[in-house]
Amino acid sequence: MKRILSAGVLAALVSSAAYGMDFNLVALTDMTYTSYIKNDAYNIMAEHITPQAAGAYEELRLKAKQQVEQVKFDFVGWIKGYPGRESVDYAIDSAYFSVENGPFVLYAGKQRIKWGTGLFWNPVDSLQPNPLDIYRPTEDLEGIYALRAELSNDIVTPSLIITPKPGAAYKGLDAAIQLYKLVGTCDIFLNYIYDTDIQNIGAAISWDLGFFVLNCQAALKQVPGSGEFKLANRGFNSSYMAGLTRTISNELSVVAEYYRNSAGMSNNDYVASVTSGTIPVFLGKKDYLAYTASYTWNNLLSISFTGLHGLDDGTSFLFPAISYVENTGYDAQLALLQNISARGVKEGIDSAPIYSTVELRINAYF
Amino acid sequence: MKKLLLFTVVMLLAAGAGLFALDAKFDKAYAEKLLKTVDKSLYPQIFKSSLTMTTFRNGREPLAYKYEIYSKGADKSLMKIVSPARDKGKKILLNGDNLWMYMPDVSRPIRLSRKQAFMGSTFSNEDLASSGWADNYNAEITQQKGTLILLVLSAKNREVAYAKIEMWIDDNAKVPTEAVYFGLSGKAIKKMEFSNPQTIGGLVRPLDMKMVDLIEEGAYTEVKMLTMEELQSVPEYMFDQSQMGR
Repeated sequence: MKRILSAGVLAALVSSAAYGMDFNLVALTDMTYTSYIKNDAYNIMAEHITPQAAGAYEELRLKAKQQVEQVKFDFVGWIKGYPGRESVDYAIDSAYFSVENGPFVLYAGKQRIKWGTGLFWNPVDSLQPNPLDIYRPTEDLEGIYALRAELSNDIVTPSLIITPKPGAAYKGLDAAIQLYKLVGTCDIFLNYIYDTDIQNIGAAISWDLGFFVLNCQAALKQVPGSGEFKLANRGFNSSYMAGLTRTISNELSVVAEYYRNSAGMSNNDYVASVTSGTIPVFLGKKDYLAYTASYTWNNLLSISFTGLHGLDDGTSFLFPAISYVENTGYDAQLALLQNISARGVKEGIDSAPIYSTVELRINAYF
Repeated sequence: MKKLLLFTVVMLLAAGAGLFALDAKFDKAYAEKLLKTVDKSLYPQIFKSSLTMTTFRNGREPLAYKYEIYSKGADKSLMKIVSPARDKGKKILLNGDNLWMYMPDVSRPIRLSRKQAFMGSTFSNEDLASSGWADNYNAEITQQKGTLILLVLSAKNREVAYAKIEMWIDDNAKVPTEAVYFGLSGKAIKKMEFSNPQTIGGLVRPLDMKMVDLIEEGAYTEVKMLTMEELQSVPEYMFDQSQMGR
């Protein structure tokens, strides 16, 4: 394992040096201890894997950039190793070229495209996969293969995207367009995604009102209901998100968001769907609330408290964390994910089998 | 004894009057013009610069950042973090009354409050991203000490980081030497010391600054200008928040 990681680092350093690339490495160690709830979801999971209380992994993430005149290359990739395993996981989050000509820029390759103004939810954005970890919504964003063209100008900045439909079989191309305009202290976005599965038209704003920043989004989605699926939620569905960001002081900030997902199911819809024997396409529940507050003390310690609540079924997760942030060469975080209502939910195999997870994570930056 | 005391008081008053008496030319118009000159000195109309910013706190390791800055006019600035590695690639964009931060891991800009502190320093975002005071402050000259004059800036609105700024200016060189910043409560919260004046682009400009936190004892931030280059133009798309990912 160590040989593989060392070889990866060496290869990155040599290639970066040889080609004069601008690069950064992030080394991450993550250790967790998890206690489980023996519910239906746990039983399903236990049929496939043996749930482990203790978990750990090491990760190396390489970020590299190269620019030759007006052409840039941007790369983010990682390898991840686990104790007791000879093989490693690896992925390329983004690897794309961009060509600039004044206000015009063309991106080609695997790239992160993040639409919307929300921290936790972005109903206008159905191109980019959701973050793997909703408690760290700024991480784990794997890009999509796309061709993207943008033209900055005073009237409105359009962004046009063409992307192959992801999936096992080639299913054609998706297309999307975003129009951006700054009006006063308000960012205004109009979004449209033509997707062979889900079409999405919406708008998003981020408005600095002085006392707080108001983030809002609304989207109208068309969910197909043909084929073998019988969906209670097919047809047109509206979704919206409303959020507030407030910086109370230099060190203290609060973000709160409410998400209404009309394409989702209420608790009764879900239970009825399961008991009737139809196969539901689970697009989430209808109502969610999330908030996070963070306080940085003396630029030494950062304390955050995040809550995620499913208002339909009463699920609640809390995620308090404390981080040591004084040294810019490394930081460390101790966090707890606590499921405070898991025993009461009705989702069966879709419920979370985790009661709590304690996590220690250390990042080093090179 | 009484005579001695009276003499002392008279002498002090006379000295004070001589020390702080204002020349007739230091009227409102002169003050406004001087503030614009100071703005030009501190912030050329269109420039590219690189600087280091190091924050010191009692009993703590210094926190050092390096930035690259593009600025245009009084209200458009783009700052890129060059180091340390943890924050490399982050960008701060000021465009009028709007402020955003771009983080590569988020892949899109996030709106910030203009009053938020900048990257753990004693500076606010506005201190660094702002390109001038004249648009947001009224100026008045209240004191004079030889060639040094005290320019008092009063905020025109409450959307700025400071309610009042008292700035000592060398009237010959037209550069500030020291500035005290007051919060909305009226309390002095920061003090800036300007040094190392150099002629760049035909104007004398202080290249080093030290911002002292008057509330947290022993906390201060040093800014050292490494390069400053006056440019003919900077393309407008650099100040379009949707282009911060370039």
